[in-house]
Amino acid sequence: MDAQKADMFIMTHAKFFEPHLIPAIREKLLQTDESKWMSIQSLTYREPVLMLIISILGGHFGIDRFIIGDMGLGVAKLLTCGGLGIWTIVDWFLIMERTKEVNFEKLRMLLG
Amino acid sequence: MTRKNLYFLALFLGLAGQLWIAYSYIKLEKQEEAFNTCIFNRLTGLPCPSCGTIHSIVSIVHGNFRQALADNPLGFIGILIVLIIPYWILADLAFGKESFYKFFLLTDRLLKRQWVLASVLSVISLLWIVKLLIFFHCL
Repeated sequence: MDAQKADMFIMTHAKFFEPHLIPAIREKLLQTDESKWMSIQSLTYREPVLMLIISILGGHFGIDRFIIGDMGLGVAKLLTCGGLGIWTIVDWFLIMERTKEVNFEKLRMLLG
Repeated sequence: MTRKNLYFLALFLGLAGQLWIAYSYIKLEKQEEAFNTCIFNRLTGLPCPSCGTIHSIVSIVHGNFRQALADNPLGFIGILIVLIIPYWILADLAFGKESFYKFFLLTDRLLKRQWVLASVLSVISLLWIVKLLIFFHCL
């Protein structure tokens, strides 16, 4: 893939990933075949700020964990009343980082 | 989720949960009401699916299983989670194994199957509906 496209992707999608992973993503994009460009562009990523809002509003029932795909943790959170309220608050600080991690895993799976 | 992050989170929450249960147990023994951590209950006044878990756990500790079922059947799962998981993780860390992490990944993969997740959520919803009906004196 040419550098212009990789840079454009980084500029428009930087907020979905951890800042320290950006150079690695750019490198990976440069090594990727041009044919995957459409699939990379059409991937949907979870918005970290939106996940934080969901965590504040529905974190008590584990909805935030269900949405990002952590089903095991979601059920555990639901069963324990949001970890007796403690986990709900802990997740307000963790969920944005976890969302970015999940987005990166999704992209990595596509890039191979 | 990495093994390190999961172990740290589960160990912290498990130990905090044990402390919370011990505090609630002492409060309930003195016939005082423990501090209500349920945000949903505080906001709406209605019980959430897992409300009554602490009462249920205290009843289990007293050997009063019928009362525990009446308080909340999820208390049986709650006590297993809070009592077993922290020590399982500590054993894993002590012996350099990752059996809990493998168990977690297996459960996670299982719950990603739609019918499994739907079944689990249906059971929880059903228990919640019964709880709400009891709350509104319909049962």
